[in-house]
Amino acid sequence: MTTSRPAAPAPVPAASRRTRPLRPFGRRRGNRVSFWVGCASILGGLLLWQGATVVFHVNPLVLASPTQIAHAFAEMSSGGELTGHLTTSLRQFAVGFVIAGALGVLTGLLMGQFRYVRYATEPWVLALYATPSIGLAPLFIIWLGFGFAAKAFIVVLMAFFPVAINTLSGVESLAREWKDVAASYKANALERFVKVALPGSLPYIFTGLRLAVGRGLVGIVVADFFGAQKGLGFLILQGAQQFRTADVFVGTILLAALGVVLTTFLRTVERKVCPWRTDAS
Amino acid sequence: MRADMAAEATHTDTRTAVAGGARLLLSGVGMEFPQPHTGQTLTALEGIDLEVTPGEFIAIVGPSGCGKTTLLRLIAGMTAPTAGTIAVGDSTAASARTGFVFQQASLYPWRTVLRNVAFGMELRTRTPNRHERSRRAVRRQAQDLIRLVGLEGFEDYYPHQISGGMQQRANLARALAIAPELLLMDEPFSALDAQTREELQIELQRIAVQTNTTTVFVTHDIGEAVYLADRVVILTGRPGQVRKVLSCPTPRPRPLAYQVSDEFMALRNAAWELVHSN
Ligand SMILES: Nc1ncnc2c1ncn2[C@@H]1O[C@H](COP(=O)(O)OP(=O)(O)OP(=O)(O)O)[C@@H](O)[C@H]1O
Ligand SMILES: [Mg+2]
Repeated sequence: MTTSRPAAPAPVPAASRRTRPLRPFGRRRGNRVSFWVGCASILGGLLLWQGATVVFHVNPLVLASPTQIAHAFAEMSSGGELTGHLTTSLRQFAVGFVIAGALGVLTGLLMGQFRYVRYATEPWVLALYATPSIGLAPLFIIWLGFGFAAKAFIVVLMAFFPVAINTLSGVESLAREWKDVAASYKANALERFVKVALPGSLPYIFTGLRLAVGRGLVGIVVADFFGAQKGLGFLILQGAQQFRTADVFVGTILLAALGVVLTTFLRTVERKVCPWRTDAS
Repeated sequence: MRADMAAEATHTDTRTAVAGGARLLLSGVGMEFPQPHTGQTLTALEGIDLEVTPGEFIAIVGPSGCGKTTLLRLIAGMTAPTAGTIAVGDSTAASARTGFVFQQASLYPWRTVLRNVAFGMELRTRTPNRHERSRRAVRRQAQDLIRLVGLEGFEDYYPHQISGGMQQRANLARALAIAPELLLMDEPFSALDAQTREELQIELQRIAVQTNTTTVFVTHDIGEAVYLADRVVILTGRPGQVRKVLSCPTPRPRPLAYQVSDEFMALRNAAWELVHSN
């Protein structure tokens, strides 16, 4: 140690060459198997559905068959109608979700870090989370009109609480030692906030965001029910009113697909943002 | 070590140069905790007087629950004592530059080894100068410390990817990275297997002598205390008070063979008697 620094590099331990531990092979194969079994299951379900509508001569006004749904889907997407509904809903959702996510994380962190913030906000958060606030949607439409603002606001209202509440439990579950380290190094409040509370609760934050996706999508649909000219909820409502059950299914399936895509996307982001967790278990 | 690191890195790096142990002075330190429910208070520590000279290595032993961890937390300035005063060099415990090595895995799982070591340096309180807090400056210094504790090659590993012994090396590097005036260690090796512990004891001695940091080392292991320390402080059971301070005259660093010497045996037996004669 007393020799000069630029000495020959110490022998690099062999282990350092494989910086990322190898993923267990079995798990990957397990994933692939589960994927194909899942696909087969869905395909089987669709076949049963189709078969049932044919065998029992189900009236398409009551229940559309998968082929009728596919037909409706093709028709609407070639006319560009579907894209319109989809982008309208997506835009409302995206704006609402980003606002809800940012506000929710901030609120949860503040509640977790500062006792008095928590005392003051917790009753509101818990009460509003328990309230089926979607029932108030007509009220927001009265206040904000039938346009974009009201829809985005309803998404915020739906998505905010799961994010805030999960972030709060993330801060609560921070290991005592993590806080002790920060305290012993005399980190100030902002540093403890940014360097310990936020990264330490990221896994919980992502759980909250995933829950928020589902609730936000419900918000979009319900908001459309109270008045809209475009959007997936509008598509579903119109389909139901005109007994075009295939349209109802097209809208619903698109929403489901949207939910899956967004959740998968969030998982990908989580893996990027929390690389220490992906190979932890 | 500090000296030649400073000599080589004279450019921006003044913090490493000023490193070196501070004097630690405890006078009449006591700590009471309010008891939950009963409304009474629990006296964890009482009338602790202790002076640790710069660069000295002190070990603290005592029965479980006698307040060793509490004492370290007070010295680290994490809590204020309910009685007495603590001075570290010219400053108070609350403002001193203290490195703390905890017993458990206290590395941040979301930071790599390098970024864990850098944690203290990134803090405003530790590094008021913005430029020294920059990613690159911090990285360069952290790398020096990682080399010092023998973890080169593992900079980009996450804590769960390295062994318990390596984690404690990283913890030590993180504590040393802020060039502490005072190094506090709370049973840092107790969770390790005997062989790794021995290895780390030798490394710690080397580092402590090189950096000349004043060190307070808490342990359950009386042999470890006698092996490592200039003086062993023996606390009584609750409330923790200083029962006796034993001096271990052999200069540090000590070879493993010290542990079979007559001096070591005699001191260890004496300390054992004192700890167990409650
Ligand atoms: N924050 C606290 N609030 C209340 N009581 C506490 C607190 N911290 C410690 N104590 C009490 O102070 C006493 C000393 O605890 P401490 O952890 O310092 O003991 P210790 O000597 O480190 O024990 P061990 O050897 O088991 O680590 C214990 O009785 C403990 O219950
Ligand atoms: Mg303890």
